[in-house]
Amino acid sequence: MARQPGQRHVRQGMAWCLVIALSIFRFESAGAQGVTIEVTGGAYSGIPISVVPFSINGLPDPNHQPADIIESNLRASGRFDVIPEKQHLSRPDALNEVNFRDWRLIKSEALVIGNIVNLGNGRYEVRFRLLDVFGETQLVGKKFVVPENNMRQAAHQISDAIYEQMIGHPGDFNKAIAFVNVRSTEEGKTYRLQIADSDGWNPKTILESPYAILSPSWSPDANRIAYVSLEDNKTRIFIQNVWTGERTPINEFEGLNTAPSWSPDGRKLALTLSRDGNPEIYVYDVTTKIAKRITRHTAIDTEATWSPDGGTLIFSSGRAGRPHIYRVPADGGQPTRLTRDGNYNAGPVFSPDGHHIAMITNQGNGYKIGLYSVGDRSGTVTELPTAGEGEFVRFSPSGDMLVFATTVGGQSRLSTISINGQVQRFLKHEDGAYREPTWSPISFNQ
Amino acid sequence: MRLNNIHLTFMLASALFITACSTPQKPVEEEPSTAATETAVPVDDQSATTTGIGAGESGSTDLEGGQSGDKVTNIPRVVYFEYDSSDLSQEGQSIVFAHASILGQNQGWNIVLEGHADERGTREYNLALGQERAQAVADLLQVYNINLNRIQLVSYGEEEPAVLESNEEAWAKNRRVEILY
Repeated sequence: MARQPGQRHVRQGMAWCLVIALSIFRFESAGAQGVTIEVTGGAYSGIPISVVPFSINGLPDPNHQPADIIESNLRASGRFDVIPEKQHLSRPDALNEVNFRDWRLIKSEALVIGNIVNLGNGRYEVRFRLLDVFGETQLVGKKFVVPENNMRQAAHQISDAIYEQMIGHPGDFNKAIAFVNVRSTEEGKTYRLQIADSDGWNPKTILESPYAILSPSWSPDANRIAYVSLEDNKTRIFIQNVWTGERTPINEFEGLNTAPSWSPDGRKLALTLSRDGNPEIYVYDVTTKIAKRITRHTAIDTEATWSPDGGTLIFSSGRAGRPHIYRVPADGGQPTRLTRDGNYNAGPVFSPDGHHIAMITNQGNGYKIGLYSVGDRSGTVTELPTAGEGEFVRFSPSGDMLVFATTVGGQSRLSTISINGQVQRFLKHEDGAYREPTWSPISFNQ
Repeated sequence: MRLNNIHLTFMLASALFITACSTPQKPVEEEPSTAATETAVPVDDQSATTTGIGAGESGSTDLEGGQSGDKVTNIPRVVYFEYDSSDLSQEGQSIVFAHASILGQNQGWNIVLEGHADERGTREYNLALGQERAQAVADLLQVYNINLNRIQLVSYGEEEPAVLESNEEAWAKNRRVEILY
């Protein structure tokens, strides 16, 4: 039934507060669901690699076995065929224990070994080596000294080092993901803007509010997040410093103030305003606080995001009757239609190399993640084979994965899918619904 | 054409008033339909300052008995929309007209129009859609001489569903504008 008119006002009448805090939670409670992987695209075609469980001298929490974290990361990228531990013929933890023949037999091109030594006082030394099985050489080896609660971070750093050595560019694993978590009780909803590890572990709440939080967008230096808040019966855009929690509203305009997206130079936000009558794209200068109108159409124009060079905006528009993706020069001009497939294409975002655009697409199979090749004049949108419906999608900084919110069995979860469509990984989650994940553009050491 | 639409709207609105008047505490009167028909002319010539009042006078005797906040509860507070559309249906137009009549004779009342969308598609596109729907109601209220500076628009997109289910019936109830004053 429809809510009574006064209900919202009653809720707003309650004394409410925004709790802004850094590092207040480390959710590692019993019963928490871990990270799960699904192979979506048939057989792996990635690089065969083996990750031997790190030998452990006194690591108390087996949840943080680096080999498990590294294996999950490498598989999630869709670029590696990680050979299961049960096929391993030996279990070396140091270079002088490695018999390369054991790894050639199981056709493992690369091998990762490592160990952890408890140094006392809560400090651990983590060593790893990446070995070329056929060349019988070491490709990279490093050691880290970390406190116990940074063991996962060390494993993400090792993952990135392996990834860079094998693939040729840095991995996305020691980077953070920001998202919105929503929990409902009889008293109402609680919205949390959270930042977690790239696999969903270690979520930290940077904003808690009874009002909806939407559309988080990282600044290019990863120090700030812009987002929409529906507080005070309005849509308003805020910029929050991730480190200090300082939260600043941008200039407020009449009507809709939504869909903020940082420009690659960090000086501007693309946004949607309805101050001139209906939702249009504007570019807001963060310094001068002036909003320049970019689109002019009686239909909805919204969800603008930037090309990597900052020269172009892509956005969704209802000007053809159904939402489709358009591009327009970032300083204004005539929009060009890009997508023609499907009856719903919205929420577009460029890949970091500018060659692809990911979006939410509906081509008769529900709302899925779609990919469009820039320059394709046929307007074809290719659906990725995700489990569940898609709702919001962003690229990883390398462009090798997408992170998205998806609904599976009525549950809103965060997930990644490799850009080749082969592997989908569900991120660790706690209670409530998960929305609108976005990957930090640079490493974010917590 | 607009003329025909408005005539139809007025007839439907009259029907609504009769329905509104047929509740136990609100005696049935004949005037509403007559008054509404009469006011159709001044609306069309765009010069009427008494538009809403003409239609509302007879209604007001019925409605004055209500408490603040419940003044017009017999007129639906919600208008519904088709998927991905901000076009008002005939029924929606007649509901908006009925509210315009009340608002025309209560010049001190301000109006909040809350636009909503169903859960399908992206949250941001749905925020824009909610805004468009609220704007569509505001535009029609303006046609009925309700000054825009009395109207506040707010979109909640898909964030405040009326029905917390995922099926066609729930979605139809969630694609809406709530008219609050």
